[in-house]
Amino acid sequence: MSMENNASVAIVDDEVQLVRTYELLFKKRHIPMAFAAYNGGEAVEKFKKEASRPRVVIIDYRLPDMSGLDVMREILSIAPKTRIVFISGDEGVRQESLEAGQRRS
Amino acid sequence: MLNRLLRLNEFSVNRAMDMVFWVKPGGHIINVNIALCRALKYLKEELVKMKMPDIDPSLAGPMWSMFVEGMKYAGSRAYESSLLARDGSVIPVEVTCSYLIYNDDEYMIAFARDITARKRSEKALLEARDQAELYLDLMGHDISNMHQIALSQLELAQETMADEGRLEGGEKELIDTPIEALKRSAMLIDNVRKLQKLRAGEYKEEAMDLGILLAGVARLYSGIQEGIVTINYTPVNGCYVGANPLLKDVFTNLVDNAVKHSNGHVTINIGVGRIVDGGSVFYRVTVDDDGPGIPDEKKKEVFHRLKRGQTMARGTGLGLYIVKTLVESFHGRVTLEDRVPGDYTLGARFIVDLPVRGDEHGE
Repeated sequence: MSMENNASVAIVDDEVQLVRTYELLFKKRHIPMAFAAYNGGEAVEKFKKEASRPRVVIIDYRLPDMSGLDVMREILSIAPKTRIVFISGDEGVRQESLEAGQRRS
Repeated sequence: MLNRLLRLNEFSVNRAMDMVFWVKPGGHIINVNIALCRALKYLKEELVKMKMPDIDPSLAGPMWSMFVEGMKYAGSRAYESSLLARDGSVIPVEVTCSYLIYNDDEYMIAFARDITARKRSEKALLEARDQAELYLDLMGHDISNMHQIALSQLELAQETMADEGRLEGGEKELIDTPIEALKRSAMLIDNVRKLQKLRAGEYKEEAMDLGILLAGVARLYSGIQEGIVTINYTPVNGCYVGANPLLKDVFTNLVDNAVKHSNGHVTINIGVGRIVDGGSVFYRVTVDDDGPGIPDEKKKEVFHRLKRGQTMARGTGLGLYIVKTLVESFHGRVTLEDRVPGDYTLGARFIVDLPVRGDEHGE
């Protein structure tokens, strides 16, 4: 994964150890991390407050307070050019998230 | 003689296992057998003073006249209901009811069977299914997450140690083996979930182009297993079959099986042809390898899933069982033979026949 200068990544996942794994991976790849959030509400709040917004947000589909799709919609309504990467073990989510992403405008 | 037959009829009805009762269109119960008296804990004299909604509350109020009209229209019907006993207990029943006209009088005769045991079994079955779905959900999400954490961190450790030149000999194996085990475990969970979804009818049939699909499989394995696997595949076009996206799993599982059981480098040949069998046209896909092969006595077993009490043979997962289940769900068949007839040690050949999709255009 190559990143442009100053482009950072944010993680939204309620699995603490998985977030830690991403942190280790990004550190090894010298990819700056904007923030980690453990639920949807926290993710949206942090995204709004972050001075230099992350270029990429990695979102788990299942979150404790809202679905990953809703988090994606909120983030895209704030910054439509944000790249979203969905993480899910459910194949059905693939199509649903692609369609939701295409409706970003 | 006639009287004797009538008495025999009455005697038989009274001793029948099923509950039998006669009802007038006004709702009055006019006759019952012993089985109904026993089940509802009433005397016959008490029941014949009661009305139908007294023992079947679902027919109370306007429901009774609707029921009678329905019976007059249909003549007979079978339905499930519940009867109310004297002590307030409720007996689930399956009822067959007929509307009769005899000597210008209208009647309904009902035969009711106690289905308590069946209902209990159905409930237990539903609970077991819910439990199974919960376990699958847990496996599919929570355990997969744990796999992912362990796998990612092991791969990071593998990469870091390799970069630092600390991953040689036995140490390499200490990292490689758990990575491989986790990958196999993740694949097993994935296969179980796919089977469950297939059985639940969550995948809809669509036109699938075998050519595109097989090219993808060949590319996938050539890319990630470079040096270990050689895949020979001559592309084909416009070979449509009726399947769903799980068709890809048929061929990835077959290729994966060949890779998993080979000792070192393996060459896999994938071929596509068209055959006619029993008046039906099939696309025949052959996947053969130059691995260690499968002895005749094992050939029939490889597609079978594990039964309770059996131990999982090393490396079997559910791969070939998935292959068979999927192919049969697409109305096809899968068979296994030696790559070189008569000498199993020269490798295996899997043959997948899938019906050609009628329109051939996938539309």
